Amino acid sequence: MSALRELQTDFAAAMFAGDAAKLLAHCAGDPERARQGIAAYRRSVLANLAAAVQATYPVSENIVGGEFLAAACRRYAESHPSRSGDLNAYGDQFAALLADYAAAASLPYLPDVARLEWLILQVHGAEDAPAQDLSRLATAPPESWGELRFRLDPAHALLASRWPVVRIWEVNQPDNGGDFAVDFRQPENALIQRRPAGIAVERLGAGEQALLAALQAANTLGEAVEQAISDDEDFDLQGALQRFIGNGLLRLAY
Amino acid sequence: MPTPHPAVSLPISAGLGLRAPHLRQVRQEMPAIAWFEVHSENYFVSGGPALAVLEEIRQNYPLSLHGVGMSLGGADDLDRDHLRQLKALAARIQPAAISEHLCWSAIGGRWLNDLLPLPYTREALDQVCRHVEQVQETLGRAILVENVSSYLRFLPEEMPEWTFVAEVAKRTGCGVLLDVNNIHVSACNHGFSAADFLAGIAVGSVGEIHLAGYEEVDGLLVDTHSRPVYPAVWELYRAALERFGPLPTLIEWDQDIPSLDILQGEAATAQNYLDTVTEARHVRAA
Repeated sequence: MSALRELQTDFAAAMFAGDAAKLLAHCAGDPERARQGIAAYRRSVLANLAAAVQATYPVSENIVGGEFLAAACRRYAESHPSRSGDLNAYGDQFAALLADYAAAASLPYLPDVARLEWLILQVHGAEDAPAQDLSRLATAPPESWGELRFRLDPAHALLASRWPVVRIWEVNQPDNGGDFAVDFRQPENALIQRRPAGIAVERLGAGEQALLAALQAANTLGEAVEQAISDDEDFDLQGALQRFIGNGLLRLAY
Repeated sequence: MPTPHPAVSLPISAGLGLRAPHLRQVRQEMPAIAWFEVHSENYFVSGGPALAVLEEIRQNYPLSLHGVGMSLGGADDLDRDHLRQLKALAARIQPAAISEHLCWSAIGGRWLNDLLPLPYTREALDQVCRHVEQVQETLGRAILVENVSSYLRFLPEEMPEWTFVAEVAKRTGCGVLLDVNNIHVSACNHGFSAADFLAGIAVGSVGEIHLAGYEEVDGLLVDTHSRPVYPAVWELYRAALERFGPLPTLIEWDQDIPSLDILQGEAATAQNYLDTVTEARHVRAA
């Protein structure tokens, strides 16, 4: 191993395993002073990583409180390696940490809230959508619509949850009017979409969810409708198309 | 009169680090600020409002991209995806300067996402130079590299930090982003002379100066970017301007971020130093 790699490996061990002995052996000057320097780096490294995670999960923080979330983020920083020089890419496994986190066991919906927040961050920086062009849909005879495929707005994501994630998200928004009622027995599917006014989080019916997931996977409209009906026998195709054309989710018919 | 390193086309004036809390105000009021610097990685996105806002600001102000995650001094290879994202951002923004830190941030594929100190050895120098050349080749332009503050020194130390910095610039043709606060912090922590540092950097190799505030924890100076610039750092800044000539100068403030007018006050102070040095040089020339 090169001397540079050895030093940096020992440095990382001092940060993440709290094992400073090997790093100290590389240090010049007064060992007491070096210990102080190592401690300063350790505080800085772990605080930066934890703060980056915490910034992504404001709704989770609203639910559990700042101190609780900070402790969970700190645990994440110690246990989950960062894989990018861009800190915005750090924190993707936080929902999984919360799912296994004993202190959060009384909040079984929390991991899905975190999943929603991670998706919001991804949607926020996703590619800009091409101009909407549904001329194929307008010109093709209705009996051939089943053969069409659609390209969706890249700045969207879907989340199917056993929990009322959309409602939980709504009551934790700063502009929530004061109605905090949540029916925790109600599963919800979320559509997260970036729009000119900001990020929208909306409920999807089971059929709508199945339709979008199938279209996203480049299935034909006919195949997607079959999926939708198998998940929701009352699926309303016309209503769904109106909604997803109106909100800009369907960008291109081909 | 010495001129800034050609990697930089920023105005020779005081600018500000542009941070999220001030974005709205800057867009609405378009304050008279000579230029802005942003952290490159905050714009490593494919699209969306953050990038659109940066493009809008670029229409109205000269802009510098300042990277915090390239890990130029890492024993690992550079992250090709990171480099690709910086290239895409630079192509989109066409910045007046691109800078990175003389530090390392990752080892064995694990990122520490911090500006960590290098051993000042020939091996580390070779590795940094290889990486700077790779970045410059990829971007098709010269970059600036910034000296970091440090709380540790390593053995063996085959050269002083300033020789290391100067050698990187000499070998790769990159410019130096001289962080005067970092020189002060490291000089106090390690007991070297800040004047020796300045004297070790070639006139003409510096493209930009950074100023910020630090905190002291049990006798250790920590580079927190959370305070106004200290008087000793202003003095060192004056000495740097006298040696290197007037240079684009940036006020950085990243924690406990104050209102924009406080930052503008810091920038105005830096501008006074710049104006004084420029006038003195004109008087001498006359």
